[in-house]
Amino acid sequence: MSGRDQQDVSAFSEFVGARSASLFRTAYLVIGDYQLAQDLLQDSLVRAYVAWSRMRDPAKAEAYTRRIIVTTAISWRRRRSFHERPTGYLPEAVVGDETDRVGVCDELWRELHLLPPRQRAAVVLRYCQDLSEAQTAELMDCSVGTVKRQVFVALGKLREHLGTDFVAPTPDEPAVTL
Amino acid sequence: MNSLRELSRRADNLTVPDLDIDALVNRGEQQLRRRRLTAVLASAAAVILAIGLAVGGAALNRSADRGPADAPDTDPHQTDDNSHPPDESRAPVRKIVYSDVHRNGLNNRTIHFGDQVVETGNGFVHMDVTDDGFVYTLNGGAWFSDGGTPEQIGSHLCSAVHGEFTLSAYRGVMSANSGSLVAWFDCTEADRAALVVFDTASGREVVHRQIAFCGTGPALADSCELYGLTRGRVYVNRGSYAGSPRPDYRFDVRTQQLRPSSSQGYAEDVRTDPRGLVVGGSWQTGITTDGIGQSFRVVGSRLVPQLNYDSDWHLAKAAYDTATGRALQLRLPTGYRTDASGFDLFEWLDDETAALVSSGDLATGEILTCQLSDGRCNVAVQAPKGAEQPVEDPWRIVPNFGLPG
Repeated sequence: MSGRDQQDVSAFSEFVGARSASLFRTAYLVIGDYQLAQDLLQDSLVRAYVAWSRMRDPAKAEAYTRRIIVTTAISWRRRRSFHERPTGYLPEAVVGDETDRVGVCDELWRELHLLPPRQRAAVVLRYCQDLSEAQTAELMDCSVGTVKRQVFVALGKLREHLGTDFVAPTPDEPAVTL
Repeated sequence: MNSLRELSRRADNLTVPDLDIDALVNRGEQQLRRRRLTAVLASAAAVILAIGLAVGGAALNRSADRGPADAPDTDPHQTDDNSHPPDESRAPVRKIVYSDVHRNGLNNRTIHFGDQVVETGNGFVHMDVTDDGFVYTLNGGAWFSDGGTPEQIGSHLCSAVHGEFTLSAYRGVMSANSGSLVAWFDCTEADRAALVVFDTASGREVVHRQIAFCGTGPALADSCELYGLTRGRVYVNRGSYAGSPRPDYRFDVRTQQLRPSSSQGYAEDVRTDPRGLVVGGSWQTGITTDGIGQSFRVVGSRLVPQLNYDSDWHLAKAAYDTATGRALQLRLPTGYRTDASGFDLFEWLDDETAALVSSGDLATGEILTCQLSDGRCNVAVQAPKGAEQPVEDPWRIVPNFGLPG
C-alpha cells in the first residue's frame, strides 16, 4: 500500500524543519526533562504525520502538534506506560545533557516540577510561552475558567513556597518569542 | 530571583535536538500501515462473523449475552505462549489504597489501606498494591504493609539512582493487577542491576537475577526499567523510555527465563487477564491496556473513555472489559455532582470492580468504585478535607501513579 504522497511528505518535512525548535521548547517546559522532551516531540510529530491528510488546514499543523504535546505531557505524568505505543523505528538524535545549562536545579524549576501536571502546563503556557488564556485552554483541552483556576492555584503555591524570591508574572508582562 | 520569564529565556537557549525527519516519516508510515492492516483484519473478522451467524444460530444464542458482536470468544487469544496458570481459588478483593498529604507535611505521611491507617514515618515516593497489602518506596528502599507495621522488603532500588522524585520514579516498583508479585530493579551490585520479584504472600523473593545489559549507573541509556507486570511475567525495557518499540523483554517468573518481547505479545498477555481494557473503536482495533491510568471524561452522568495517545485522542468509542468483552457503560452515582472533568482508573479491586480517582481541574481526589458489569459507580472515599481551598489543597496520592499525582 502506498503511504502519504510526496507533497504531504514535503510539507511535513518543511513543517518539522521550521517549527521543531519552537515545539521542542514547549515540550521541554511542560514535561520538565530534556530527554523526555525529545521523546515527546518525536512522538507528537509522528502523530501529526499520521493525521496530516486529515488536517483541513496544514497551516494549523503547529497548533495541532503543540496540542498533542501538551495533552500527552499531562498524560505521561499521570500514567503508567501503557499509552507508550510501539513504533518500528526510533530516530537517533544524540544530544548532550542540557540539564545544567538551563539550571534545572533552580528553586523555581524544582517547584514547577512539583506542581500537578495541569497546573504546571497552565503556568508555563501562560507565562513562559505567553499564550492567552483562550490559547492555553485550547491546548489543554479545557475551558478558559479552568485555565484561570489552574494558574491561580499554581501561582499561589509558587508564591507560598518561594516567598519573596518568586517574581510573580504580571498581566502586562511582554511576550516571549516562541 | 525566580522569574518565569527568566526561565523562559533560558529555555530559549536550549540546544534543540537534531531531528531525523526521514525516520519520523518512516515511523508515521509504519503506524499508517498498521492501521490499514488492522482495518483489513477487522473487516475480515466481520465477514467471518457474518458467515458464522448465518451458519450457526445456536452459537449466536450462546454468545448473545456476552457483549458486542466483536467481543472475544471464550478465550480466543489464549495461546500456549501466553497461557496463565489457572487460579486455584478466587482472588481476594483488594482494598482501596490512598494517601492525603499537604505540601507542608511531606515528611509525615500516612497511607490509608481500606479502613486501616498505616504510618510511614516519612515521605514516600510511590505506592503499589498487591492482594496482600501495599508496597511503597522510600529512601531507595521498598516497604510492605498488610495494614500493620511496614517491613522493608527491598533496598538499593535502581530507581533511586536516577532520583526518587523524577518523572519516571513511579516505574521503580510495579505490581500486577492481581496476585502477590511486586517487582523492581536492585542496584546493590556495582556492575549490573538485578531484577527482583517479591511475593508478598509468602514474604520472600521469588526472583533475584542479574541481567547483563542492565547497568547500575546514572546513564539512563544503560539502565533498564519496568514496563509492566502481569500475573506471571515481568515486562522490561532496555534503557529508559525513548519512544522505541516496547517492551523489549519479558521475564517469566515460573520458568525464570528472560525472552525478547513485543507490544503485541504484551497486549495478548493482557487480553487474557480479566483485569484489563481494550480502548478504541472495537475489540479488534482498540488499544490493549492494563487499565491503570485509563481516563474517563465526565459527559453528563456518563463516564466516557478517552483516547489520549492516538491522533484522534479525544473520546474513544468504547472501552471493552477483557473479562467479558463487553463495552463499559460507566455512569456517575445518581444525583452526584462534581466539578471534575474526568476520573482515572488507578486500582482493580477485583475482576469486576475498579477504583477511579477524580482527575478534575483541581484534582479533588474523590474516589469512586465502579462495577464493570452494570456500570454503576459509588463514592467510596470523599475528597480530602481542604480541597475546597485551592491554594492549600491537599494532594491525594493513589497507587500506580507518579507523584504528585
